Amino acid sequence: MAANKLMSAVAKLAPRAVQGGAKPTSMIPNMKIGTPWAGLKTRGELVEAGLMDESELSEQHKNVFNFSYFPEVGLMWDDLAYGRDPTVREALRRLPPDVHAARMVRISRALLLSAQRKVLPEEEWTTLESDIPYMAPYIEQVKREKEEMKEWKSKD
Amino acid sequence: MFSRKNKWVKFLNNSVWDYKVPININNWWYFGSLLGLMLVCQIISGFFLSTHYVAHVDYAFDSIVHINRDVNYGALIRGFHINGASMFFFFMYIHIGRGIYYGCYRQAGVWYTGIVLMLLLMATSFLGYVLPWGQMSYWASVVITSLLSTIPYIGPSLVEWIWGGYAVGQATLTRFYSLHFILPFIMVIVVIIHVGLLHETGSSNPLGLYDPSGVGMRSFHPLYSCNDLFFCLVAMGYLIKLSAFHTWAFVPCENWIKADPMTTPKHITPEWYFLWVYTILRSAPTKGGGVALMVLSILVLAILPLVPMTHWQGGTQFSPVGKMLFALWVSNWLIMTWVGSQPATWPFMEETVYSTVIYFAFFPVFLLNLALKASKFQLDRSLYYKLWILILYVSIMITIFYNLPESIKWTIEDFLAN
Repeated sequence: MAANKLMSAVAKLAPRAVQGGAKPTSMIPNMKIGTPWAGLKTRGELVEAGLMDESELSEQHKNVFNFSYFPEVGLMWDDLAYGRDPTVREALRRLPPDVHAARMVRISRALLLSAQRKVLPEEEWTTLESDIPYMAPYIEQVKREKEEMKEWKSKD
Repeated sequence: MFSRKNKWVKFLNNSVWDYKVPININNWWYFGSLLGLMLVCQIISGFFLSTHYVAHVDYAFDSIVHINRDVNYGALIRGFHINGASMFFFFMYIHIGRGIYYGCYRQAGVWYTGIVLMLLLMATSFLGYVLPWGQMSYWASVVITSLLSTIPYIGPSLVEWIWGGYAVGQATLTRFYSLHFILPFIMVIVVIIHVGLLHETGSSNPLGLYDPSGVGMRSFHPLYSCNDLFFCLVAMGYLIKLSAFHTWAFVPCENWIKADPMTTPKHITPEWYFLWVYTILRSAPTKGGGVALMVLSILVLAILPLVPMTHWQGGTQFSPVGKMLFALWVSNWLIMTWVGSQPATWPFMEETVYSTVIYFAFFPVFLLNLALKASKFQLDRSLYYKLWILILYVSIMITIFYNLPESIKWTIEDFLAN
């Protein structure tokens, strides 16, 4: 049921998103791409809050980010996490539902764009400042748990 | 009987008809099915050739002439077989290049069965090349089987065991014929495992993203079945064109002369698809070193799935530096293919060294670049630049060493010996 709703949402919103000259639209109702949700902050906000080093937004990082193609199809860095890796799978399972749904929508949109050999209008490209590292805490959590488990098992 | 409730029909339906394929796969994904087509073509054309071929040193060459001249459409079938082998390798190299570029090696089972298939294909084509018993066939078999003598302790005995005697002769030809017949069927079994493992994880796509929601997936039929059929028809058309109009384009002129163990051809070179391996073989100053590098050049592909890319999808599509490295590597591979066809003189002998160094250096540099990128922009710039400088330095040192005048080389070697 939820999957059907998601698919119909993508089908309705995706065509508008890829037409040139269209006004920027958000794939998630009432939320712009890059707007923090579930209490998550963008890289820009994390640097402003002092939670991330300033060098994260250096020119070199920006160039590496901007030339990497994935921002042009509206993906964030954490969207590139390898979905078949066991750690990532567990982290995905722990994501809040709205964050997970937004990730699925972005991935589906990217696949549809890739199929059409198109990219988003430039104003909708992800930027390094608007990128949200939403999965990093969960991956760290899973990795720490695995290390603890390994340590426990080695004591047996 | 053909209801989808039947478990076999269901299995077939999920593996072929309704198998979910990403919507965004591009033309590079069609070479897998083209390889399957070429395998079937080779088995069928090979079967028809085998009904007329005689595996005897005195009659093999004449039986090939008989096939060409007397058998109905014999020349055409032989053309299919020869040119089919070339197309098989062409598609295989593109298939492997696609796998490296798009990070498909992350599906380790599929990758390793693919390497096994590559080795089987190389073995099969080498064995088949010997069967016409022309000059190049005979001397290629002598050169390649002699390489096994470099294996410590068992080498010389192994070579005699393979030859079935003290030299390449009747026993060798007979067993090569049997092996050449049986190996394709072993390839069919490995192909089934290869595709089965692929279907476990699902096909990759140009973005490398895994989409469990299924929004970006389509059934294999009718979209991809029709696309595959189209490309198969194009490939068959090209095979027919090659076989009908350029039948002997890939047959060296020495192979029109019956094998003569007393006369060595001036330039022994393999078929075009082995020239890059030949370059690597000739790059080392010693026979054993060349053989070791040759084996490593194929086994180095096996390290790709082992590099801890951790949680980031591998592949160059999101790495501009990775794309440049890949382009450099492919260009180098093309240069290696050309250099392998040239005689073993200056400047080609020096070029074999440079291109072999680039071939092997690609893998650690490429993988390190991806691994660094996977560490989420926590680029340790100093480490990254140090690695580039180190590789450049080592390449320069190797180049200088090989270009040094002999007198200075001996001085360095004397110094190291003392």
